[in-house]
Amino acid sequence: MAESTNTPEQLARKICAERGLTFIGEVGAGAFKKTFHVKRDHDDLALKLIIRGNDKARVDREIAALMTCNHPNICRLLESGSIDDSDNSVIYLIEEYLPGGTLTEHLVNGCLRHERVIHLAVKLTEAIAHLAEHRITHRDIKPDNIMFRADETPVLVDLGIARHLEASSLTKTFLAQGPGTPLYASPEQLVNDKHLIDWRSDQFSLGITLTYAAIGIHPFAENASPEHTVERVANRLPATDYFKTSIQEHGFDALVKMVEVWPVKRFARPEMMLAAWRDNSGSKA
Amino acid sequence: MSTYHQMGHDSESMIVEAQLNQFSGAILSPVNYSLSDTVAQCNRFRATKPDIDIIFDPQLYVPSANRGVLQHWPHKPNDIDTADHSSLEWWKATTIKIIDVCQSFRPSGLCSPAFLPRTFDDAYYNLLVDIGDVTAEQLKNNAELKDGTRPFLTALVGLPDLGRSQRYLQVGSILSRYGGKDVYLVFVDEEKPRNERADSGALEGAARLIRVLSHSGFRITVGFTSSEMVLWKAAGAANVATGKFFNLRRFTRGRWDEEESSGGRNIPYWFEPGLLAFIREADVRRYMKEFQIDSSHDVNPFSQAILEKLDAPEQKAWVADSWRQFLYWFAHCEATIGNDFAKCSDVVSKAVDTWHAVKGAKLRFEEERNNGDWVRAWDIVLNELDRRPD
Repeated sequence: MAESTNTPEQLARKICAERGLTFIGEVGAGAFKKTFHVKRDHDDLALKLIIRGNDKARVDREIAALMTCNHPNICRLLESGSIDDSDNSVIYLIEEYLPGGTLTEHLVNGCLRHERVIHLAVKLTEAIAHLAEHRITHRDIKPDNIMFRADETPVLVDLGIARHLEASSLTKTFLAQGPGTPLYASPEQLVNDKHLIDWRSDQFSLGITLTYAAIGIHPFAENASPEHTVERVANRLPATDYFKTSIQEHGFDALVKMVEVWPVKRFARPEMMLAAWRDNSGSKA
Repeated sequence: MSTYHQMGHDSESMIVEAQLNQFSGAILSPVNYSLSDTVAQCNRFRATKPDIDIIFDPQLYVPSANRGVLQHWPHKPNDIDTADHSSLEWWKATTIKIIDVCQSFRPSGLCSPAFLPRTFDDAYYNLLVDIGDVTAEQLKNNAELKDGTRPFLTALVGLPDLGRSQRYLQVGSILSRYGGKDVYLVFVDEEKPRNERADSGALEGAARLIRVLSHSGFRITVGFTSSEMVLWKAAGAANVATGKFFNLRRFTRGRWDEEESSGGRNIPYWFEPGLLAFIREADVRRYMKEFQIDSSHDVNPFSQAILEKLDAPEQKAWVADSWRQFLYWFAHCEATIGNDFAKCSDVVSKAVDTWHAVKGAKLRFEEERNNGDWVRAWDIVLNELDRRPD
């Protein structure tokens, strides 16, 4: 691959010039992409530039997944394209701009209030249900991949390793990329038990995420070592008693079921999970 | 909560018998009856019992076996012996043919097609779920059947395999991907049809599989069962199916070969609920000299008919009564125990106690295998289910 002659920002500015967008500034960078705030007329937009490896399969999957989805709690993809950079073609996505930041940022000052956890759980369950309806599994749900609109609506982002369950040739590329973020991954993802990966894997990751948001711990953590926690999940050891007691004291019983290590013991259908959270909304609000 | 007749050879006469009316319906067998026979049967069954629940099992399990009249059914693919059975596309095409054929007799339930694998691995179970989803989808798209025929996921599950630690959770996690509600669960092992299943580890895994799937919201119908159905009911199975012959109460790879030679056709067996055992005529006489037969015989008309024949001065054949005696007990016992764990346990505990007394009295039965060991295994299974969550 030829050396890039442009910085990501220079490329972003070139794209803006080509597409009639106004460049505002950089807003974030992940392992595979850089995100810039741009404008079209008065509308704020996010320009995502794929900066590492140009993993076409991964990007194609993200585009295909986003094109399939149309849900208020899933990030809206508006356009996609590519731009030449030396001998390479750099792929970019133009998505809705999410000025409310990530859930990670929201948790910097502590856990969320009870009713916010419930709201987050209901909205993200609806998003997962929508993905499941299209036989798509996100596979990387974590606080960094939950963002907020200006009105605080939570939005699921980054379907980069989403798996369309009907796609047949995924395993090799998936393995090369690794199974999402280990601390939030389900046991079946950690051990690449591909016959078990479905929307219930997202349920597990959402359960871990919501536990962090609600009480600030990982359900499987016995000590401060993330490696030890991941190992416990991968070995399908049960969630800690401390987690179970704490989460029930806080009135979030649904989380105990969501983080069961075997999918058959989690909620069997998204609507069951949704019903559990809606029932929960009156409990300890 | 229902019981079903597992139809096999020469079974149709029993389906709507008044004294066996506790059965909700029948699981049809295209191996033993032609399409035109089946259409006529369904009409007759419905005329006699309008609310009968007729479930169709397309029975494509063993391509190379002697499949009786199944050869002539339009849904049997011509390339069944050579096709790649791991191909979902092939199963899709097969399912279309099955649904076409169902239009002529409109079953109230349709089991997805399934095949017996060499090994019961995850890929196999995964394919079964995909086939089940395809069947449900195609049924939903069929204007004539979509409202009256509910889809079942057929899950042939290797029983010995379930004895492995946590295997039931792995299998359950795959099967519970199925998008529908009804699962037709068939446990496969190599136990001879006349033998009782006594591997407590495998049986516990099977019961736990039923329990986790039931807790997940699935309605489980266990096919090809015998008196071990008390375990399945204790675990939460909604429905259980059994048949006239022993080879309709077990699903083994060799069951088709045994169809003509055995299956309890010639030897009459008395089913003694107090022992959960099938015993021979001479055993019945010996047993009755020292022990009280189970009180359920008082209301079982076929037990009464058999006892009259045993008392008659001239020998009278009672093999046909013996089939019905068991079927009557099966349906009535299921209706009594439902999914009440304590009642299921009582049935088994009582048998454990009776066997203890039989052994204490040094009473032996003609068949060496009739030693009651399985009852102890079943008691262990129920005890484990009770004391340890899944």
